Amino acid sequence: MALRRWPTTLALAGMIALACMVLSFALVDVLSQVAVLRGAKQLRERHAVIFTPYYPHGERSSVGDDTVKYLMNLIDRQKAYTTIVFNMGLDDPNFAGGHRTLVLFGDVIPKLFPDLQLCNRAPCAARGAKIAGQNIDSVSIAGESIPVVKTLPAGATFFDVGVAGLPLDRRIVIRAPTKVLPLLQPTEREEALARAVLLDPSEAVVDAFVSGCAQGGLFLVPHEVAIEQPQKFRKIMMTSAMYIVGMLGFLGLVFAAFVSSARLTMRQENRAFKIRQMYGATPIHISLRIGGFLAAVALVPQVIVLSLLVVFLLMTGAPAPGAALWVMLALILTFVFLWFLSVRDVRAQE
Amino acid sequence: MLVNQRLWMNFRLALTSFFLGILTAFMAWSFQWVMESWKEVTFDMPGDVTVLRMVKGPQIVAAADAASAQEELKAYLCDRSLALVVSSSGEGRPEALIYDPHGLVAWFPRGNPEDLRPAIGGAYLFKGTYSERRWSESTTTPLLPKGVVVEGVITAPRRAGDLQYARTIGRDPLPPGQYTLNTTDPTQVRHILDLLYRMGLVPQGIQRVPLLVYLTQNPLLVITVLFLVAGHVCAVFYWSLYLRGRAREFGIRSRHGALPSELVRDNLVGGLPGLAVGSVVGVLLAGVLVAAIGQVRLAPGNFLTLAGAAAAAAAIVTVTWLMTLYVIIRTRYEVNLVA
Repeated sequence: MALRRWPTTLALAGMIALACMVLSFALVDVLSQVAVLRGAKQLRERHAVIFTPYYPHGERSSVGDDTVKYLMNLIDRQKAYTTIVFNMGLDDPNFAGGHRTLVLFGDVIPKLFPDLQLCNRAPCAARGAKIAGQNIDSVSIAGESIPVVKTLPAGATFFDVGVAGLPLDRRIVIRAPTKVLPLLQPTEREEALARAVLLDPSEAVVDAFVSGCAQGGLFLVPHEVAIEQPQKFRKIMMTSAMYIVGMLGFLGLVFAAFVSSARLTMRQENRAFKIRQMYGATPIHISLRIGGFLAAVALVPQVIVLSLLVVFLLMTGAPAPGAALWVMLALILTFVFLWFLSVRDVRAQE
Repeated sequence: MLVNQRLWMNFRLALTSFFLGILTAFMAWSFQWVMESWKEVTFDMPGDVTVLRMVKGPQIVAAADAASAQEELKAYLCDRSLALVVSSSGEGRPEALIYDPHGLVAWFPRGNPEDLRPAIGGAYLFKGTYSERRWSESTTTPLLPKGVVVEGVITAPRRAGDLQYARTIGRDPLPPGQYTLNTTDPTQVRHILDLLYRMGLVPQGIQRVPLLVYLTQNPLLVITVLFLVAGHVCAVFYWSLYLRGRAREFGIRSRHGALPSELVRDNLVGGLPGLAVGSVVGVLLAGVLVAAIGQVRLAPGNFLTLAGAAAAAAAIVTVTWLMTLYVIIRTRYEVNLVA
């Protein structure tokens, strides 16, 4: 049935698939943002201050050791923490066995992110679930050997406000001692300064840190997480809400068109159904035939597209690949509903 | 037309225009956002702009040559009534440098003409930034260059983002960054690029941004327009199926002397309530839902957008309905006479 009416079928199937895709992306965005907001609850409660960095033109910043020591002191007093996500060991391809890393400085981190299940006492390191089989016993930072002691649970994600949801499955998470901070390479050190998170700092502390970095050519613009994050969150939510509502509206329209076209098809096929019945087709046969037609337009192509999307999201390590599955579930429910309606319609005409 | 049938038609029309109303609200909203972000691109300067992304070039430039080229640049801008905004994009200081001898940049205080050639321009802090807060509380400004005096506080332009302050371009050499000019004239841009080259800068990207191009390049707007169009296609499809179902009725009517134009008018006027109610409810619901999910309170400006969207939705839907009616009744008219 679907093959004989391929232009309409193809157009409707394509439109439904497209709308489902957009809907999935919007949902992924919302879910990951919600996760970030939830992950940063502790940070908001502790009045964390984060920074937007402005780097010097085409060169490395040269922030003095006194500012680094200032940050070290704050971290040691559990008034701050910092991370290195991208720039650790860039010069050394053998660093951490060539795996990507996440370097954490600060004993306050396990308290802020209790879900993370990090190794217990710094210095120590944990490997991501997907690189558990690899034999890496220790990681060396600035001559300091840090033992890899455990494996993180699968799907572990680090929710820093700066990097919205960092998947850790393929990373080695290193809790480094603060004493290596001044010994780091300049790019590593720069990132550690720029990613510093100060907890409930006084204005004077922020000023001292910002001025110290500014003297070395690294300009940090401070933001209070408790004030700015909810604002940003609302803005993103509003865009996503617009997409979701818009797509639902569009799907409503497509399904209205589809239902009336399907009805017409069923009416046209009524004679064929009758003939089939005369030759012994049971109601189950008929309903299977109707279901096949509906599935060809409103289920199979979309499920294929959405499955590809799930695979893509999983491969790129997006924070919430489950969103596409939810859309798929909604689609299946709609399909069952439509199927039930159409079968009832055809049976009523007998 | 029977009352019952008319009610059914209005219900169908209201249902479709309800969904189309949601899509129109979606588009109106994205259009408003795009217009706002257009103001960001242009730094609120009037007309089309060119954005040059300048980086340090390989050429070796003597400081004196660079300084004279900078003065030439200023003279050229002044001569051609142009304004220049140099802004940082993640590099250098979080500042905007402005040369605007003719007062085209509305948010930046114009100052005296003789102030346009200072050695170092005074800074105007953007309201609500960290620097403004610290300056008003304790007159400390860690992010300002040494020796720069704070002249006052101004409302930040939309694009400001994390930028902390703006100051007039003085004699200190211009940094790499985004150069926004309120011209798209190739010869003017060429000349300015030559001057910048003599100052040791080369373009990494040149973006001429006329408004129309900007609108068509915005993915949000393109997607919403696309879905609105596709939505109308679906509506036409749905309506034509419905109207074809009434072909027999049209045939009988035309035998009794009804002209196609009368049939079209009758159905158009009869369907207006459904179309209007559907669109308005759709737009309103879209607005309320978005506000609820985004947890924002709707501002009066939003209501204006929504009202505009509702009017636009009703108008577009009516036109689509008219066209569908016209085409279907015209094509079916002759057939039905014989049927």
